[in-house]
Amino acid sequence: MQPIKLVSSDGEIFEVDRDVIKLSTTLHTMFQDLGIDEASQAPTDPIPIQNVNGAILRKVIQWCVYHRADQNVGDENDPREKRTDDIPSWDVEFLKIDQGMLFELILAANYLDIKGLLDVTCKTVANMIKGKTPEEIRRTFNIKNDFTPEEEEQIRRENAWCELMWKVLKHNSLK
Amino acid sequence: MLTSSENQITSAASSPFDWSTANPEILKQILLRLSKNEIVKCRQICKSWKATTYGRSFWIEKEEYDRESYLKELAEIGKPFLGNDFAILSIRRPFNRNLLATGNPEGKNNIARNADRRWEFSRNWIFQSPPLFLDGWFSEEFEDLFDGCYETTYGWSDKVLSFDLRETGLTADVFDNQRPRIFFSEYFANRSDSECVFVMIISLLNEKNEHIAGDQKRVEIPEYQLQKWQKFEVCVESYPPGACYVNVKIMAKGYGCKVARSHLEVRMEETPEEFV
Repeated sequence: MQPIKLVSSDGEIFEVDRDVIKLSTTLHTMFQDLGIDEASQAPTDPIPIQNVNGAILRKVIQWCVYHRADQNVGDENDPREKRTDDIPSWDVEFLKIDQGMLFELILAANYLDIKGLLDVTCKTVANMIKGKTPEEIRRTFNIKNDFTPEEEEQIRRENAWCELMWKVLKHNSLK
Repeated sequence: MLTSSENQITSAASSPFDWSTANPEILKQILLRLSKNEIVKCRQICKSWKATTYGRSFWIEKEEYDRESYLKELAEIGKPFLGNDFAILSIRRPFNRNLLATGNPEGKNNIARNADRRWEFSRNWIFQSPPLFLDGWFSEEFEDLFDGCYETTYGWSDKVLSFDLRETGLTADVFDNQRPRIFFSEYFANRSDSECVFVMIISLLNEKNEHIAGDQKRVEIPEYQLQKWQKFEVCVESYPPGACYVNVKIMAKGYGCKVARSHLEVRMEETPEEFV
């Protein structure tokens, strides 16, 4: 089985095995549409991955190589684990990167439709949100609070039911 | 380990992600992986986060992600949503389900442990498991529905419950304007060697604890009647504005009168054509 050549948006060329490529539903579907199966000759021209630069594409391929043998990756019917604290330890190490790169990786995983990578990267960001106050979240992600004071008051009112619920729960647990 | 990851977060500030250019799909994918209560918190961050997490389609997708289908079921039975805060509907599930718990693990005794924490029982009830019937006196329609039930011992027994409608998460205007019907039901059964009287009262109260609407039912079963479980239901509808609490009272007279499975429900029903 010949490897397939991919070229990043900034012209870097990568050779990737087909079972690694399969993790990307986007590329896998494209090959099927072009009638390229495992028995046929690999295309000689590199396939352009327009939205992904070399640094990110290298990370994506590294992740796919490690996870090439995973069972049921992207299988919608597979019972997924919903908790955000279940990121495999290899992925935790792999995702110790700066925030900008983490988001680039999410964009690439979304574009290439690599479900497992999208899941762990999104969970990593979700973990940065968990347990923080709104102000801490804005600071973490450098987000500007663009609500007017009136709008903020309105949201506070709308969320009052949520606070009431916490009071009720607290009250019950104290009883 | 911790230090190194903290360093990375600090260094992240130098190359922060530009959310304004991000595909809203990405933000949605991240937020779907948070608990529902964390998502509600995220509505306060900024306009685009609020817009992403506000609508009906986001919450239906969140339920699909969590393998739930409450909102979808409400939609599929053709009933329009009351109010428009789908977070409330998805988290509190105010409609079409039993709002009472079937037990209270922290209850001090057998009576309290097997009922919702809100129930207050007079002293002459016992919790009996399995229910104690008189042998050989079963109706053909008898079904063995419950592992345990509450039974009276002598005279009049009663139990009362007060439910604060604000616990549903629904705002007062939903009750004032839409007036969803509020049902309470419970199963009861007699014991053939005793006369049994059951009374069920539902009362809707305003914030000052004044009665604004109600319903009641009474059943008398003479001695030597064959034993069977029957469902007993009361309902308040077309009530005036101001509904705040629902009080329920069950009274039973006799020996071995049984009650089981309390069910309190705010029902969202088909809206007449002209309102759709």
